[in-house]
Amino acid sequence: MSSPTNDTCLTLQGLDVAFGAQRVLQGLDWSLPTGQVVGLLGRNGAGKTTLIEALLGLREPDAGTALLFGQPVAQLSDAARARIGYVPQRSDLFEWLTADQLLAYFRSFYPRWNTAKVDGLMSRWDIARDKPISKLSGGQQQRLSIVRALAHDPELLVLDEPVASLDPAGRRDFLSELVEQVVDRRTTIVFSTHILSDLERVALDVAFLTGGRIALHAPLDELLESSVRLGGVPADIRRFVDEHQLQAVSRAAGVPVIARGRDAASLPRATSTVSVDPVTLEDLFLALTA
Amino acid sequence: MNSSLLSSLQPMLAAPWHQRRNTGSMGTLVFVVGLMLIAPLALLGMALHATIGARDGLAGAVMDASVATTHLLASAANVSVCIAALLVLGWWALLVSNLLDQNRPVLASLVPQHPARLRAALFVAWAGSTAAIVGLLSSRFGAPRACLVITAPALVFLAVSVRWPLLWLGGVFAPLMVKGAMEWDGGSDLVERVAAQWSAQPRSITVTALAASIVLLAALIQSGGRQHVASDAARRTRIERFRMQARGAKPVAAGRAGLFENLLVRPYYAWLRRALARPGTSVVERLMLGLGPGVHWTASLTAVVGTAAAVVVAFALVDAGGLFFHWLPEFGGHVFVGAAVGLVPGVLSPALQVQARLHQTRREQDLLVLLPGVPRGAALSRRLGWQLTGHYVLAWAGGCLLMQLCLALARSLGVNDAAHGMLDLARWTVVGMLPVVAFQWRAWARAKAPSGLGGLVPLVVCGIVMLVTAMTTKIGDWPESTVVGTVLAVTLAWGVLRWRRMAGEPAALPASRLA
Repeated sequence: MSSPTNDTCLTLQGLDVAFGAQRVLQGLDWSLPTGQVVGLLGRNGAGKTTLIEALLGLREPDAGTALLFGQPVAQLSDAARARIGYVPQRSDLFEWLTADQLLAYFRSFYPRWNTAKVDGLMSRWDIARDKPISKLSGGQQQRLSIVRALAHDPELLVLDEPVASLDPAGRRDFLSELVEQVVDRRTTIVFSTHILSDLERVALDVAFLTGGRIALHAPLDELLESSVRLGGVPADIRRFVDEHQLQAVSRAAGVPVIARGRDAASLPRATSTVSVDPVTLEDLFLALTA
Repeated sequence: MNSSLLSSLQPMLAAPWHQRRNTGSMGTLVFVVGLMLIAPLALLGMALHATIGARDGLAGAVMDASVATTHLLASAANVSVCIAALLVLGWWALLVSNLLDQNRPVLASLVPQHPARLRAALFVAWAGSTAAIVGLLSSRFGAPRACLVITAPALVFLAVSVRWPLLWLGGVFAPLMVKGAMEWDGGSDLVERVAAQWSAQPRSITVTALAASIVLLAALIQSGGRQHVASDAARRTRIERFRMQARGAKPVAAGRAGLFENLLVRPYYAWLRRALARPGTSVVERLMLGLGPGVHWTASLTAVVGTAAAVVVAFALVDAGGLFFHWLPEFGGHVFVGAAVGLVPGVLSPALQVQARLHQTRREQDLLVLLPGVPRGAALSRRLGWQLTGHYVLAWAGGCLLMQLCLALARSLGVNDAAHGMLDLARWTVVGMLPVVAFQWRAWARAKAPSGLGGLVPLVVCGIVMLVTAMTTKIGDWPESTVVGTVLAVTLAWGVLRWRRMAGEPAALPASRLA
């Protein structure tokens, strides 16, 4: 892996994290250029939350290094921390405070605070300011968590399943806010989610976490265009893959089912013996995280 | 009862055991059983030591000791039996709570025979617990029928109190009521009449007590419907309120209970407003506010001030009540002497529960450590350590003042605390609580979810220090100043050791991340 540059927001090298005998991250390498929007995908228990915690310095790795803005995450400067926004998986936090108290509390730490944005989002998302957080609905708690993370205009936004409790309208509002954030501020965004349709609307890149490593990180459009689903007689499929220099992404009984290649988009949709169909993100998710 | 019914009840009855085994919280049980075995032996040892010391010459001492041992072994067996009975009582309360948890309206309506099976499980457990306690007590003290008539309804009262916790207040006021009844002119007549009834009709009284117990017990399990839904919702709200209180959070409950709890956390919110309004508030002070009301020093301040206010109000009531009940001031005086010792661990509890509170807010701490200005690494551990030390010292000093207040009030009611040896006990408690401050310096990152046993460790340390202090001053005739100096030195050495170890550990927050 290349050394971090000024344009690299996040660099992880050889990251190992284990819980007892269970190794969750195994020599994970990953880097993110500034301004990239990455959807982090993985099955339940794949280690997405652990990866997010490790990259933010909330969990010490057993081995490897994690750099944010070129600094080791364990020794991030105050200035670097002011550039990070984080929405954790659980949003029922600081239940003893009201929304207003929570925002005032976090505001007291940041050198920059976008009051106009906070007020706009609070009123647009209809979050009661003077109610204890424990009395807000799950969706409102999650929205408040997002407002808090966006309030100081972060340059790196890390979101761990941020839309799990939101209804479709809430998800749409949230996604448009994310898009604005990217367009206006060139914010780097990492977010994990299981709702693939949302990812397709926002993410420019996707990263698949499986077996404790990033199995694949690629631009979403390119990935969809370069991948095809193959069907037919096994011997014919194998010959087809060899002929067109495709790389098997997933196999069933040793036979490629989904394959990638540079010229996949220009492949014939079908031959006399092999069917060639476009893939969806869900197909890729199932194939790459199996 | 056939074996198939018993096997169908087995999962319900074994649920508390499995829950504890699965959550790894069996330590409390082991601790209690250990105490059951060790406590009588310790008492025996101390008594033998006193007997030997009282007689000149080894031969005489051995003779006295052998005579005394017979009596002491009997006493030790009595203590063991009582502890075993208490253990059964605790297990019964746990089981009832668990069975009531399983008595959900949805299950009662949808699962065939669910309420009937819960009821059967409750009866089996009640019969077993009653038999065990009666067997234990009557084996040492005789009178099995009297034991049965007292134990069976008492277990039912305990079960009903689990369902309606306000009934616990009855236990609080029971000594006062008993004392009042005994002092009442007709009290002794009443006791004699009850005794005569018991002698004349023991069987019918036993049957009546058992029948009433069975009816009450059956009514505890509900079978669905609107009333069940309402009572279940009330129980869930109560449990949620306890959970929120454990986090030191503002209550979610409305009504009078909510108002009272609001009063307890008001100083925290006032301090929060003040801190956020002042630009000069330090980062660490704001960080401590972010850890929640339970970890903040205002929790101890509230505990001390609130308890002192309650003590003063109680004193005023006792003093006024003395005009009508001549026995009340002296009785109240004794209660205040007991409270002088008993209240200190109470006001120290917010400081002692820091582990639980930090564990509960560990998710919030993920966000706190990412805030600009918050110290990192060893600096964070040190700053947190100092803050928690301040919190503990405040609680300890408050406890000492509260103790002095209780003793002063007892004296003004005419009770001489020194005559009861309580003044010594009070002093030992204050000294015993000193080394506990070192528990505020831990490897918080590795601290596991607190178990019942974990919470007891500081109190056990306090108890050991109290015991050693008592033995060295009373039996060893060490000067008090030497004992206090030694305890201070040990506290300091232990503190330095723990502090150094803490400095070499990963950053304190987020707590429990490496557990």
